[in-house]
Amino acid sequence: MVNSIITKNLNVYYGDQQAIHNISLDFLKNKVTALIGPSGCGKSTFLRCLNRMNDVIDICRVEGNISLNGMDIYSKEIEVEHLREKIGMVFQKPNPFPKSIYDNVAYGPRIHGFTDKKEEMDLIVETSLKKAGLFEEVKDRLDDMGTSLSGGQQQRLCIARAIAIKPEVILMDEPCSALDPIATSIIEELITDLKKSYTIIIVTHSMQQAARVSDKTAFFHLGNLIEEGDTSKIFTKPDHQKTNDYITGRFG
Amino acid sequence: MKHADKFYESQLNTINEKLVKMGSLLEKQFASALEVLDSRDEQLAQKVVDNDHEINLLNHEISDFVFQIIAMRQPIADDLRFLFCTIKIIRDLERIGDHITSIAKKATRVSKNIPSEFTEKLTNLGKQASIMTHDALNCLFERRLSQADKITKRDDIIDELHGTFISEVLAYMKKHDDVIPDSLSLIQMSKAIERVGDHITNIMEEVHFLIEGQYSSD
Amino acid sequence: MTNLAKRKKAELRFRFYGIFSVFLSLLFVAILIFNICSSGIGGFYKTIFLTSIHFDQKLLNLEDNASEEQIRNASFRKLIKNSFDESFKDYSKDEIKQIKKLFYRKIDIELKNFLINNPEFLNKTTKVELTASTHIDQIHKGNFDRTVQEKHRKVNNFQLEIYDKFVEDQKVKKVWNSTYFTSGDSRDPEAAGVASSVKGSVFTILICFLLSFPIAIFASIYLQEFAKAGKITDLIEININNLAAVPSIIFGLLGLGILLNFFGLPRSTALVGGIVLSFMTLPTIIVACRSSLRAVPPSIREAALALGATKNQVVFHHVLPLAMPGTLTGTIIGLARAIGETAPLLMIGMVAFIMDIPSNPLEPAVGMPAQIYLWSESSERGFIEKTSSAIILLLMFLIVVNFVSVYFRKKYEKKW
Repeated sequence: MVNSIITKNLNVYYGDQQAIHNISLDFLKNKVTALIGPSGCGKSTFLRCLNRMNDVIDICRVEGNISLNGMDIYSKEIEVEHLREKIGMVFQKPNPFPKSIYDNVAYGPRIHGFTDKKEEMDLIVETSLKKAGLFEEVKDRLDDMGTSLSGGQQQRLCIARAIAIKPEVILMDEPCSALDPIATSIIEELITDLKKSYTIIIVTHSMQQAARVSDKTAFFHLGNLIEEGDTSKIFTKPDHQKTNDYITGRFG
Repeated sequence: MKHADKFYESQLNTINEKLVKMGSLLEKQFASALEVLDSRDEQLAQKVVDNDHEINLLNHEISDFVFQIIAMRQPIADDLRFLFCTIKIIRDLERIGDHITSIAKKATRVSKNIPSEFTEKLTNLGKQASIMTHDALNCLFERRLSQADKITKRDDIIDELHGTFISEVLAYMKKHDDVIPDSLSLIQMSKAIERVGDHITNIMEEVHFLIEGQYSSD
Repeated sequence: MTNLAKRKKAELRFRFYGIFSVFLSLLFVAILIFNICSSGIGGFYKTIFLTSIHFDQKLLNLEDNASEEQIRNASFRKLIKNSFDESFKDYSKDEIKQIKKLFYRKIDIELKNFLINNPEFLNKTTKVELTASTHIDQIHKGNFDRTVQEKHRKVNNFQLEIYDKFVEDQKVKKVWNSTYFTSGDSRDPEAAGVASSVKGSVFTILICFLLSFPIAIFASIYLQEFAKAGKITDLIEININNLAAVPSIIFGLLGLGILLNFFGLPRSTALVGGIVLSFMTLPTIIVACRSSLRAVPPSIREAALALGATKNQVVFHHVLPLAMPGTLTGTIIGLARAIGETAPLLMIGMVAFIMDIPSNPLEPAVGMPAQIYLWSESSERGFIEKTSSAIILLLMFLIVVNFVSVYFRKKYEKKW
């Protein structure tokens, strides 16, 4: 078991308000880790620290240590654009660019200068779409707008877009919350498939989803990490009463 | 803490209530059966047999309800453990009920020729099992394991008493061949009580799982 | 009456108010357009007299195959006098003088231009279209009440008689007035055209667009995407909004004070006009562009950022293209307002009598609204018509601009 991302004593503040209290949490390589907890518990904030999406927010301050493969991601030598090439992200609402399906996938490789050749780019697009399980559905209409796809397809397009830049880690922020059960189960199957090649960290509000897709689960409450462990353990016999109360729906 | 969903909370409470009802009914049945052993009251025995039907009904009612909740609510963690244990416990309780019925039935058939020494010993054995049942159900309803050791020890006592009782009855049978059918009934009743003890042990294992999230190692 | 019935009735009432309001506003527009068109369409036509003229070589003092230069320098006075004397032999000298007044006073220039364009008619007789005087023009178009007492008329009874005779002889015709589109302003309504003002407007708006559009977009992007939220940004935002509400004449004063007096730029030019109008248009475009930028969903920004795009790439690859339709609409609204603006131009001398058609933005020019204003001030009846015609042109210009804006918005609008 190799750790991909290690966080140590992480504190995050929004202005004077502390959103995350001293969290130390490690993420295993090629495993799916689910972050669960009630709204406003800091799980999304935590997720966004991992690829420094919080940098955009002026009042957000991050203390502590996050390392990817032993490299401190908040150190001065790390360019944030380079980091995000290594740690991709999929968002809550499918957010394809209002461009063609092809351009959606090719955008990342293009800005990172992966290739200049049309054939190589075609290959990247094709493999990424295949990995996201979307290629068969869209291969005849790659020039159609990404936004013309259905919700589930859009989300898979977003996954393909994230995969196209060959990341090591994929962060998913409630990727299925806007999708119907069928689309959800397709994405969940995809997640299980993708963990062979990527480390996946997923924030979810659905207990069942966390139980279905993740190997490890971490429970956050009011900015604190209450409990983390094997998913099978968390969902049958959590150690902490708060975890039990949350997952069984005892506080809202 | 209570569930945010009050209806869900009430559903789980209903199951618990039915379980309590089943337990208390069983304790009453047990007491009646032991009384039959003393009085050979055939009417009372018939009543025990009739009441067993209610226990069987409760068994089905509870398992239907649990099945429904699992399907509709996808319970997890302690809720899931509770429902899972309930399913297994009611099966044991139902079996205990059957054993009690058979004790009550057989008790009426024991003739007065048998020395009261044996029936007294059997009643004592039954009382041990009855106390054990009571304690185990208390453990279940109060979700505590403090008396678990005491309960399992009582099972050992029952097993021991059952052993000696059998050998005593056998010895008596060898001398008095006219009481063989009655002795056989005695042995069968003793065996039933011993089985009740085993079922209670099973229930205690489930209670352990319910509370600790895993079965006891021993 | 039940509550629901009441609510439904209220809705019905509201619908009626709405339909009535729409009808009323459409009615106003219809009245306006009808009014302007009815009085302005005539301006696109002019009345001419078909007159046969003998271009006598001797009278013109020209040789055979005279060059253009020679024709230009020749005097047509004798020819005209001779032609009139011949055509109206039966009339007295004084009467001929009056007949002459039926024609546009610069007959010589018209004849000269005709001969320059058709030199083969030298020494030959041909029918030439001679422009009627503005009064006859108005009478012919029916804008003039002939029953008015003679002393209140510009055209006396004798002249009317002659005119009627011309009409009888089918010598009077209404033709398309191409001069209106090709010549600049003039003291004479017969010769006045919109060319100089249209060109002036085009130069002004072009400069206004070239200055305000890029500046506004860069300013908006910086303020919206890069500047840190704070007191200074707030202050700037408030001031931009205030600037959008400043009366336009203040911008004219600014142009007068800074551009003309301080920087010494040439007055009355399209360059200065464009700069002044761009002051005025800037806040409008900035406000429109910022709100369009703000309307771009943050999820698009996040998506690009998460792929490792730099902030610049996020803005120029994704945000700006999505904000473009709204910005363009705002720009066109701002420019349309600028096109119709007169007050600021007043201060920098762009409301003036300018005959020459400007060939570049550094030459004195006048804008269309200013031209309309100038003509509307003129006393001659002919200018009333010209004014309305110019308004029609301006309105058509605005309609075209609006259609272009709708086209661009539809073209670049994307759904997400």
